[in-house]
Order: sequence, then structure tokens, then C-alpha cells
Amino acid sequence: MIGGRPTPMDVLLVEDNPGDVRLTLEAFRETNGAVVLHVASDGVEALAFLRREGHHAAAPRPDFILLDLNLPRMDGREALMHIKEDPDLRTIPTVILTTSESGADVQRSYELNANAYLKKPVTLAAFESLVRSINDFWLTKVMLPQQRSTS
Amino acid sequence: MADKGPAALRHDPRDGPEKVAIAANASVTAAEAGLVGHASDAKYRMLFDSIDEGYCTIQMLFDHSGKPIDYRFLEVNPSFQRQTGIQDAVGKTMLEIAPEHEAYWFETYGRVALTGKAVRFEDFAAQLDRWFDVNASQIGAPEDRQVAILFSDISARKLSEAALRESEERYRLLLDGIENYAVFMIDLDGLVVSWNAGAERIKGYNADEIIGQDFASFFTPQDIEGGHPAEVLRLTAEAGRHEEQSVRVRKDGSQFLASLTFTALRDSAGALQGYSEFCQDLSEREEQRAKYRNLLEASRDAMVVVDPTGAIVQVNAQTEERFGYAHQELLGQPVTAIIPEGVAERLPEYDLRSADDTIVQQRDTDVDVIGLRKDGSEFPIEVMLSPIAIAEGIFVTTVIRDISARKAAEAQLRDKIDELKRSNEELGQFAYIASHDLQEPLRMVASYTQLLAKRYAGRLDADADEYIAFAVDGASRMQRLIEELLAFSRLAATGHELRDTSSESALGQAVVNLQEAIKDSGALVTHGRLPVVQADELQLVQLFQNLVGNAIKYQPAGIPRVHISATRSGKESWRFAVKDNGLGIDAQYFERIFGMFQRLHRRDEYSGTGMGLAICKKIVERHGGSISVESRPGHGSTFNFVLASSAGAS
Repeated sequence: MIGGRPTPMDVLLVEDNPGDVRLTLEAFRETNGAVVLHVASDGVEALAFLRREGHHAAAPRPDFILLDLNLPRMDGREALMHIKEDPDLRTIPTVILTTSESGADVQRSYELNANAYLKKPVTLAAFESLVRSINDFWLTKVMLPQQRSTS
Repeated sequence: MADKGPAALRHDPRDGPEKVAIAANASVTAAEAGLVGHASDAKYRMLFDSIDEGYCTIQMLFDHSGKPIDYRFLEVNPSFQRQTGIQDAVGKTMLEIAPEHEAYWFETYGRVALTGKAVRFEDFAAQLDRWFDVNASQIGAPEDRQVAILFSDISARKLSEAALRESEERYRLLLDGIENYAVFMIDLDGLVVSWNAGAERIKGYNADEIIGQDFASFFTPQDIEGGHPAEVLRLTAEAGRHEEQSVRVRKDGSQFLASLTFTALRDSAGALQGYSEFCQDLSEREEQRAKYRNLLEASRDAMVVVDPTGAIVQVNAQTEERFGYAHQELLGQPVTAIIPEGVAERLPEYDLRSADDTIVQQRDTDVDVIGLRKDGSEFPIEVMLSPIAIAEGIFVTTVIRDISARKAAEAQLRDKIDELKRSNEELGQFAYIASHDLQEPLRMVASYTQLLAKRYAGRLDADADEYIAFAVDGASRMQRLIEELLAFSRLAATGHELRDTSSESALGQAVVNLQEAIKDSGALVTHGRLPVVQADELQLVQLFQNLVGNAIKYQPAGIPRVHISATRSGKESWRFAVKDNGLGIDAQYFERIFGMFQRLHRRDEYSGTGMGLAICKKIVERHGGSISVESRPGHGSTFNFVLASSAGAS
């Protein structure tokens, strides 16, 4: 709860690499204890979580989505498209976090209305610093839409 | 030949000047002399005074031994001065007038004075520079030793005779020089009157043997029996010209097939004066053709001889083989039957070109054309034309080289190059993908060893701390290597368009990127005026960043100084120099430093991946330039590279 909001923040991390999942978890843990990190390992699971399908029926609506691009089953590009086409989901800030620095991926992501595009840093220090930035900006300074759920 | 007068036929121009009295005229001369004898009579005096010829009487002078040595002029007529050029001759001796006058004049006149026998002759008087036609006869009593001379200056006639002789001589030499053909003349009776070298070679007679002989000796016994020699002359006289191909006989009795041309020779009045015969030994021509055929057959290329109309007149065996025709099928066919385009157009006849023009044309004739086989299939050929001008016109020998094999080899080479290019691209792509994908697991290794170090440093034992430190160091070094490798392979795999780029602002960006290193070292980076060049801006920034970064890094203690300048290098490029005051490089490493992963220092001296200059080299090469270094250990280094000027004026 160090400098964070009093209410817990729900963050959905769409990431298939357990190493990255753990790194992200550790980084948020050091940054903001109020963040609850939910993990989906591919696009299909992410959409199921967001739509509260199957065993995700009780899932919270996340305040923020961190989306990797290269994923099994349904990749991040497609997942992003579905999220931004869905009137219920499109207001959730969705930030791409990937190893890809391809110009085409950057372009395509913004075309699909990604809210930002971040490259995974190669050193631990840089990664931690990036997560701090995300927390400071998206989870702290930014005003988010109030409706936690419509329909 | 017809203009050669009959007189010339009989006249041997090699005879010297006519010093001898002309016998045929002797009787006439005597009569004239008789006439002259009475010249002193008043009636004759009038006559002599009125004539064009020169007339004089002389008194012969003899020495004591009786040898005539001079004469004195007793009287001269009015024409005398014009005919001789001598004035006031009367009373003078000839030697007084012309001391060089030839002795033979005195001898001749002395003989006339002594013998009373008249003479007529033509001769030359050198000191007077005139030719004279002279009638001389004794006058008065024999003991008076007087001579009457009637003469005229014939220098003009002699001169034109000499000119004529000279031109005849040239003509004779020309004919004599012809060895390939027998050329000779025959008089009205069929006797040979001239003979050239070719005649001697072909017929076997020398001039002495044959001149004056009947030309019938060149005919076969059957022809002679059939009256053919006379027939030939008759036909020639009638038509002015007669040609035939028939068998002739040499001196040794052997026979040969000859091509013969007879021409009637007429004088200016049209009177027939004789004949010329022009004879070619066809067996020799056949021999030449056979030689040429052998030459054609010896060639490894197909060779086709084409006449002025573009028809094939000769082919070699290679032609039959390459084009699938028997040679009889090709003879007489247009060359376009086997080479549809590219040859006929170049033949002289089609464009009224001369043989010389065709040779000139031939220089750029090495064009690829298509050969057409009998079965309709085509093959690539290369054609060379070689014109020969002969009597019938300009024939062209066409050398045809089948270049199927070469074309196939070229195509194969092209394929290989394409393949190589592809595999090179694939390799570049592979390096890119490999280094990119290696980054992922490496990022895990690096991140977790770092996390380990962060969370557990001091909580395990000293050994563990050391192990973790090595792992962290190794992982981050490997990350840098892979990053550089990725940057390098990205240069090959991607590559932006070159556009006008300010090298000054690229340097500026590089300096910004190097800010920290510059601040830490206190380096002084300066530059001259830098031009706009054709470049990929990001790559140009990278290039400056690597070079300036190296200049700052490889420094002994002291303030690094780096200066960047550019000078014109030819019309369309700039030569950049990045000069530092750093460590310098031993000449033996000048090549090696531009290789991948090449380092000259221990890691604990200077860190680095050994990729920086390899990337610089790649960037410059991708810009079409080159990079090199000048350096001496301890005296700094200068890296030079060349880039193209901006497309517009710079």
C-alpha cells in the first residue's frame, strides 16, 4: 500500500512465459502491494477471463491489461482486436508489453487502438523501472472510467 | 589496251636515240643534196630564204692529221637563227659559238666533205639543247671541203616521243608485274609481240622464246587442226572482244583449263592493229578454292560464304552438322534460311556498302543472333562477317559460332548467383532471427541471476556471491553481444532507402547519444563543416556513434580529442575523417579490426563486444562506400570513409 490507492487494483497480464509472469509479479510486489495480478496465458483465456466465461465466472473486471503479442492459440494482436471491438472491454486501458520491436507490430497495435506499446527491457533493473513507471502512470496518475460493469 | 597504237607494237622503246642515218631515205637525201648543191644560184637563194627549214653552208676545218675538228659558217638563211638560236653565225666557227659542240657533228660533216656522200640523220646538240633533223651534202668542188646543210629543229617532237615512251614503259612494267594472269599482245598475223611475267609463269615460255612466234602454239593440236586460232582472231576483230573457256597448252606440252579474253586493238582512226590476250589459269583458281575450302573445313565454327545477293555459295561440314542440312540443300539458298535476322542486313548488297564499310560494321557485329535448324529448332549463335571483294562482287564469309553452351553456362551462373543471393539473405535472416530468439531465454537468465543477486547477496556464503556475480556478468555480456549481432544482422536484413541526410545533424545525434561517455571522460568533440550526403539517417548516426565512441573509449589517461571533418573526394562523394588522439593501432591490425567480434584489448582494460567497427564497415558498405584507418600506436587514429554526395548540388 506504499503510495498506492486504498482499493486493490486488478491487472490482467496476458503472458505465456512463466519467467516473465513471475518477474512482473515480483516487480509489482516491490512497487505496489495493492495490485492484484491476474494471469492469462493466451488470447483465448484472456477473453474468457474478461467475459467471465467458464471458470472465470467470478473474475473481476480488470482496471488495466498488459498484453504480450506472441502467444499460443490466439496471439495478442487478435486478442487486442477483440477487446477493442467489444464495447464493454474497449475502455480498459490495454498496453502491449512484448519483446518485438518490429515497426509493423508497433503500427498494427496502435491501429487496433492499443493504449501504449512497450518493449520488454533486457535487464532486471530496467524491467523493474518500467513496471514502476506503469504503476506511477496507469495505475496512479491516470483517471480511469468509473463503470466497473455495464450489462 | 586498245589505245595503244600499232606503232608502239613494233617499236622497241629501249632503242637509244637514232644516231644512224635512216637508210630508207638515202636516195631522197641525195636528190635533195643535189638541189642544195646549186644554192648559190639566185633562184635557189630566194627559195632557201623563204623556207621554214634552216639552211647553211660550212667550210670544214681539219687538223694536221686530217681529222675534222670544226667548221666555219659561210652563209645562213633567215630561218637559221630561229632553228638554231645562233645569231650572226656567218664568219664564225662552230666551236667559237658552242665550244662544247659534240665531235660527232664534225666527224659526220667531215665525212660528207671528203666523200661527197650525202647523209640524213637526227641528233642532239647538247649545248644548243636541241634535236635536229639534218640533210647534209657536199657542195662545190671536193677539194673545197664545203658542205650544205638543210635542217630543222625537232626538239618538240622528240619530247613528246620521250613522254610517250615513258608512259608505254610504265604500262609495260605494270603488265609485266602481273603474275596471276598472262597478258600479252598479238599482231595482225597472230604473232606474239609482248609478254608479261604472268604469261611466262603460266605458259612456261620466256619473252625471248615466244616474241615473234605464232600464238597458235598455245592451242591444242585439235584446235589448231580445226582452225580455232584464226577463228578467235576473226571473232575478236568482229566483236571487238571475245571470251572463252578452253583448254590451252603450256610450253612443256601440258594442258590446262583457261579463261581467256581477247580484245581488238585499234588505232585512233579505227584501223585494226593487233590483239591483246588476257589468260587466267582456272586450275589455279580451283586450287585456291580448294585451299579456301580446306580452311573452312578446318574451322570448328560453322562457316558460310554468301554472295552479293545474300545467297549461300559455300558451306563447311560444321554448318551441315549444326544446322542439320546437307550442303547441297543449302547452296543457292538465301542466308536468311538459316540465320533469319542479323546477317543479311549487314551484307554489302543490301545496303550498298563497300567491303571496307562491311569491315567497319563487322567490329560491332558480335551480336547474339538466332540460328534456325532444318527441323525448325533455334539455337543461339554469334556471327562474325568477313568480306572479300572479288571480280563478281563482295562475298562475305560468315563465321557462325554455336553459343548454346556459353548461354547455358551464363544462365547457370545467373542461377548460382541468385541462389547465392538467396542463401545469403536467408543467412542474414537466420542471424537476425537467431539473435532475436536467443535474446528471450537470455533475458530470463540475466533477469533471474540479477534477481538472485539482488535478493540473496550476502544471504548465502561468499562463494555463492562470487558464482552469482560471474553468472550475472556473463549473462549481461552475452546480452550485449547478441544485441550487437542483432544490430549487425538487421543492417543486412533490413536497410532503409538512402536520402539526402545532413551528416552534421547525424553527428549531433550521435554526440547526444554519447553524452554520458563524453561527460565522464571530459572529451572534446569538434567538427568542420559537414555536408549533406546520401544516407540512411539512423545508420549514419550509428556510424558516428561507434567511431566517436571508440575514439573516446580507447584513450590513455588524458582528455580525448576527436575531430570530424569532410573533404570532397571526386565529383560525387565526400571523404569523412574521424581523427582522435587516442591509443592508436598497430598497422598489422588495420584489416582485422573491421571483422566481427575482433578485439585488441583485454576485457579488464577496455570493455566491448568487438562488433562496433564491423557494424561501421557494414554501414559504409551498404552506402556503397569504404572505410579504412590510418594510425600509429601512441599517435592517435584517423578513420576515413567515403559517402556519396547528396543527389542535388551540395
